[in-house]
Amino acid sequence: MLKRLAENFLIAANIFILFLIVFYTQLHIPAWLQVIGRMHPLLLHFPIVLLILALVLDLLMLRNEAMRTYASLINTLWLTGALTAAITAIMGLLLSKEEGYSGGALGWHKWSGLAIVWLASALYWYRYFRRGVIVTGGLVMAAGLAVAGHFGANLTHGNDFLLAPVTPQQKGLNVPIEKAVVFDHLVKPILEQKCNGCHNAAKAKGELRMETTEQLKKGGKSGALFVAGNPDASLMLERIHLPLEEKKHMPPKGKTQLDNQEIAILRYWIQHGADFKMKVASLPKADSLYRLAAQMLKPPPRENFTFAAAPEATISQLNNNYRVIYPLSRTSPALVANFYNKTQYSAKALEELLPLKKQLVELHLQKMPVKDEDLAIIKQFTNLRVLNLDYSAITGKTLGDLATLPHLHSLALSGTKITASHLQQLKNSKSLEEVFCWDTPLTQQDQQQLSLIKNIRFEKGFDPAKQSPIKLNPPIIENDQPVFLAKQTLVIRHPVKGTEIRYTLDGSDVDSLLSPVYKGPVEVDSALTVKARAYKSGWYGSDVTQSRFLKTTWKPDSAVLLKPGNEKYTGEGSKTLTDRQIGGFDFGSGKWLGFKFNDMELVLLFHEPVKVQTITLNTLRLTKSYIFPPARVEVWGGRDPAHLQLLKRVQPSMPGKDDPGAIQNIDCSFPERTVSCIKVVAVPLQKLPTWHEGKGQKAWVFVDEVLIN
Amino acid sequence: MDKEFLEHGLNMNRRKFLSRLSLGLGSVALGSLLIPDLLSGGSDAEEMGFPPGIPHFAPKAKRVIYLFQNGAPSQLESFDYKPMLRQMMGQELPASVRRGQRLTGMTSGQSSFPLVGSFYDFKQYGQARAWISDLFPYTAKVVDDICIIRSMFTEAINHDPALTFFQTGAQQGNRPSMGAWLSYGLGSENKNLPAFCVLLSRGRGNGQGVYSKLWTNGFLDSIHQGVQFSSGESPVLYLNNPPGMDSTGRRKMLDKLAELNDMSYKEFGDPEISTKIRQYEMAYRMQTAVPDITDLSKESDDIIKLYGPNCLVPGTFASNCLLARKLSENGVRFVQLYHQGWDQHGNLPNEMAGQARDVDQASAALITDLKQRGLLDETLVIWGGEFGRTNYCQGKMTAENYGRDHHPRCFSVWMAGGGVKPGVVYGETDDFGYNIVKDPVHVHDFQATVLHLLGLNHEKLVFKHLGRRYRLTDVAGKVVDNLIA
Repeated sequence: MLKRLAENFLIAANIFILFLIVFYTQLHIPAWLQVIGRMHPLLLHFPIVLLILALVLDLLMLRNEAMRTYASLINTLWLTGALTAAITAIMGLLLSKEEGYSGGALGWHKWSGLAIVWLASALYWYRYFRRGVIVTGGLVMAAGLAVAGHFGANLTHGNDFLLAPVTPQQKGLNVPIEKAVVFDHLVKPILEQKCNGCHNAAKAKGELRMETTEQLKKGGKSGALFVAGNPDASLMLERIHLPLEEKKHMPPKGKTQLDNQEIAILRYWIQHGADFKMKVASLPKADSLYRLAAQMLKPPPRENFTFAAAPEATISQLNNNYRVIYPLSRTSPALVANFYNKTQYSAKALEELLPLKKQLVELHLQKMPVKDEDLAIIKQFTNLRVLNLDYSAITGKTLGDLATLPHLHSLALSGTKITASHLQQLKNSKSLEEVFCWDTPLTQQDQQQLSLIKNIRFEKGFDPAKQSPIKLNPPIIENDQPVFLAKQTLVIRHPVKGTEIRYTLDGSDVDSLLSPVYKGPVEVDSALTVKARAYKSGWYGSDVTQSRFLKTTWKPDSAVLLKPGNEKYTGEGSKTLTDRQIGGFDFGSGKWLGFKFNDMELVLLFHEPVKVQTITLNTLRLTKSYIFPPARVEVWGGRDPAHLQLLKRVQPSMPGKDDPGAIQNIDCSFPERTVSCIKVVAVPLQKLPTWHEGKGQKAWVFVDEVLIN
Repeated sequence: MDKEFLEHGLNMNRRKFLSRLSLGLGSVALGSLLIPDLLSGGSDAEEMGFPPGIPHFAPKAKRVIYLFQNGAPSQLESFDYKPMLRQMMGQELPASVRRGQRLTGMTSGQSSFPLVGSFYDFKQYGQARAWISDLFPYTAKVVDDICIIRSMFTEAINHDPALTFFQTGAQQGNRPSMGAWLSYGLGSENKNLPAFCVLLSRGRGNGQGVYSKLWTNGFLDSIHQGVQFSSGESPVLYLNNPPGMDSTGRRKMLDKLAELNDMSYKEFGDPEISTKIRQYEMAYRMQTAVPDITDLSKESDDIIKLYGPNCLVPGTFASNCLLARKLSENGVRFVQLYHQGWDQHGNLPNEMAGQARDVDQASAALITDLKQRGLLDETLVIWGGEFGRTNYCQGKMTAENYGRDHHPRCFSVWMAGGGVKPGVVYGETDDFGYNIVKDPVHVHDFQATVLHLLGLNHEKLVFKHLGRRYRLTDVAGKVVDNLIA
C-alpha cells in the first residue's frame, strides 16, 4: 500500500517537474516556498546515496544469484531514491528562481539533475526489461550524479573550490581591494612564483632566501635586495633589468620571466618605501600602484544604502523640468538631484529638497548661482557622496560646512573663486577623496601647500603654462565668391579673439613683421591673390591661408551658347560660364563645360553698350585626361550679332609631356572697344601631340567662366 | 522472477493509468498557483521586468560621449604596435595566419598580399607602458586615464553593415541605435534637451557616408531618435522664433496645438501623437537651453588652448568635442560624434597623419576637460571605428606610401571614464596583427559592457516588436568584467 502511494507520488512529482520546466520563466516563488527550495542542499544527499546503493546492489545481483533474496529491498531503494531525487529536483527548481543563480554552471546542474530524476524513474520500472538497460542506464545515471554533484558544488562553494588547493595562487585575485596589503597580496605572490623556487631554505642560491620578511630585508651574498624608496638603486630591479643573456639576469634564462606588470609592482612597492605593512587602501586612488592593484584585486563592493526610501509621491512632487530627481537604480533608496537653467535656481529650490535629506547621495549644482550661505542647506544632506559646485557663485568662505558631511567623497569646485585657505577648511573631512579645483585663483604655491593634505587629491586640471605653445589655425577669408563683379570688400577674420592678422594682396608671402595688419574690410577692384596668417602671443603663428579672386567688370544681360557642351559635361549651359563660380580639378563636378566635337561659341549681349578690352577664359589643363587648352580662341564684337568684327585671336601655348595639371586663364586683350554684343569662340585641339597616349585623337576643352573686363 | 518484475512494470491498464495520473493532475493544479497571471496573460511591462527610464542597478556612468572614427582607422598605425611587420616588410602574408579570412572586393583580386609595417614609430607611455604611435601625441599624454582595447572584432567587412552593426547591434539597419536604447532605458536627465544628440564632422581623408539610420529610434518611440546638430551658425535648425512671433505667442500657440493633439489622441489612441506633444514642449524649452550651450564665443583661452583653436570653427571635430562636453555636462545621455575620412585604402601615411591631427588633441582634451570638472567618473568616452585594417598592403607599396584594406578580425578602440579601468591595455593580437590571441571582445560584448556601465542589464533591456523581443545585443553579448573598475 505504501509502495503504491510512493509510486503514485513519483509519477505526480515527474509531472510537476515537467510543468515547472515548461512554465519556468513565468514562475513566481512566494517566500514560504523559498524556504522549501533552500532545503535542496540538504535533501540532495539522499538520492545520491540511495541511487548508487541501489545500482551497486542491482549490478551485484546480476552476477550473484544469492542476492535475489534482497530483490524487494533493492526495489524499495530504487523507489525511494527516485522519489527523493524528484523532490530534490523540485526544490532545486524553486531555489534556482532566487536572485543570484544563473550562468553555465546552473544550466549543467539543472539539466543533469533532471536527467537523473527521469533516468531513475525509468530505471525503477523498466530496469529488468533487458540486461543492457540496467548496465548502461545505471552507468549513465551514475555519470549524471557526478556531473550534477560537481556543478552543484561549484554553485554553492564557488567555481574553483575543488581544485583551488592544487591550482597555483592567482596573485591574490580574490582579495577585496579595501582589505589588501601591498606586500602580502601583490608582491609576495610574485616572489613565490618567480623567485622562491631557487631562493629557499633548500637551495638558497647566492646565499639569498626570499621566504620571510626578515630574509628579504637581509638580502644575499651581493648585498641588500633593495633601497627603500629608490628602485633605481635597488639590486633586485637591477638584476631583473639586466639583458636576458647576462649571467646575473634574474630570473635566469630558461625560467619563467617577470612580466611588465610584475616588474612595475616591485618597482612601485620599493618606491613607496618597501613597506611590508602598507595597505592598498592607504594609497591615493590616482597612484600608479593603486591602479595596478585595482586591476588585479577584487573591486570594492558597491555601496549598499541602508536608509529607507523616500515616498514616491514626495519625489515626483519635487521633480520638475529644472530640478530632476531620480533614484540611483531601480532597487536603491538613494537619490540623485540635478539642477538645470540658472534662472530657475534659488536657495528655496534647494531648501525644498530637505524632505529628501536622508536619501540624496548626489547633488549636481554646476553653473547654478549657489551662494555661500546656501552651503548651510547642503550641509543638512548628510548622506551626500558627490557634490558638484563647478562655476557656482560660492566664494569659499563657508566651505567648512561641507567638511562636516560624513560621507562626501567627491567635491567639484572648478571655476569658483575659492582660495587655498578656504580649501584648508576641508582638511578635517574624514571622507573626502577628491576635490576638483581647476580654473580657480589657486597659485602654484597654494597647490604645493595643498599637497600636504594627504588624504585628499586636489585635481588641478589643465595648465596651459605646462603645455608647449601650439599653432594657431589659419584665418578665414569670408569672401566665398571666387569671381567678383567690378569690386569687392575683402573680409578676413579669425575665430580666436585677440589675434593679429597680417596679409598680402599680391600673392607674396606674408611676413610676420612687414606685411600689413588687417584692421577691417579692404576694398579691392582688381584680380588678386590674398594670403593671410594669424599671430598671437603665446601661440605659434598660423599656416597661411590663401584665396585667388578673379574680376569681371561687366555682367552680360544675356548669354547664349550656340552649341551646347558635350552631353556629359553640359553644366547649366551658358549660365555656368557667367555665374561667377569656379570649378576645381574635378571636371565632372558640373561646374565645368566640356567641348570635344564642336567649338564653344558663346554670345554675350548687353542692353547698354560696354567698354571692353580683355576677355578671359578660365580653362582646365589635365593632359592625362585628354584635356588641353583650346587650339584657338577668337573674340568677336559689335553692336549686334549681325555686325561682329574679329577683335582678337589667340593661340595658347600647348603643354609639354611633363606639365602638371593646372587651371589656366587665357587672356584675349585688344584696344578698348564699345560693344553691345560679344562672341567668344574656343576651338578644341584637333590632334593630340605625338607624345600623348591618345596621339592623333581630338582633345577636350574645359571652360568654367568667361570674364569680361 | 525477472519476468514478474517486467510484467509488473508493463502491466498497466487504463484505470490504473488514470488513477495514477490523478495525482499528477493535482500537481499541475498546485503548480499553477505559482504563476500569478497564468490566465490573465502576461503584460508586456511584466515581461520586461522593469519600468523603462531607471537603471536596473547602480550605474558607474550616467552619460556617454562616443567619438566614432568613421571609415575605420588603422590599428597598426595607432594603438597596436607590430614591429614584426616592419621586419617582414614586403613578404607574403602566410596562409596559416590568414586562415581563409574573406576579403573585400577591393583586394580579393590582388595576386599578392605583402605585409607592410607602420610608417610611424611607436613609443611606450603611462603606467601600463602602452604602445602608442607618434601620430597621437596628445592621446599619449592621457594614457593613464584611458583603457585601450586591442582585441575588438566584428562580423561585417564593409563600412555600412559594420557601422550599423556597431550602432544598432544588427547589420541590416532599422533597429534602434545605441543612443536610442539608452534614451529608452534611462530616460533623459535634462528634460530641456534631447537625450540623444548627433554631431558630424569630416576630415580630409578618404571618407565614407553616415546616414540617419545610424541614429534612428527604430521601433522605439520616436522621442528616442538622435537629434542631429548641424555644423553651421545655428546648430539646431528652426529653433528661433520667426520674426513677429514672441515667446508668449509661441506659448499660446503650443497650448492650443496641444489641446488639438490631445483631442486627436483621445480619438485615435496613436502613441505617436502624445510623443509629438512632448516633442513640441521640449522644443519650446530647448529655445532657451540650446543657445546657451552652443554659444562657444564665451569659452576661455585655456579651453581654446586645450582643445586647439579649431574648436571655434563650427563643424570641426574639435568644435564638436567641445560641444559634446557642453551637452553632456547639461545632461544629454548620449552624444554621438562621427568623424569621417578614415578609410585609407591608399595614401595611408599622408591621410592618416591628417586625420590624426584633426582628432588627437580634441579627443584627449575632452578627457582632460571632463576630468578637471569632476565629470569623468560619470561620463563614458569611447573612441574607435567600425573595424580594423589589414596588415598587408592594398595597391602599390612603396617605402613612403601604401594602403590597407578592411579587416574585421581585430582592431583597437579606447574607452575612458564612466567606470572603465583607467590606464589599462586589454587584449592582444598575434605578431602579425591579424588574429586575436588573448581576450577577444565582440561588438555585442562591447555593447553589453557599455550598457552594464550605465546600469542596464543588456539581457533585460528589451522591447517587444512584431511578436518578438529585441535587444541591442540581439541574442549574444557578454559583459567584459575585466574592463570595469
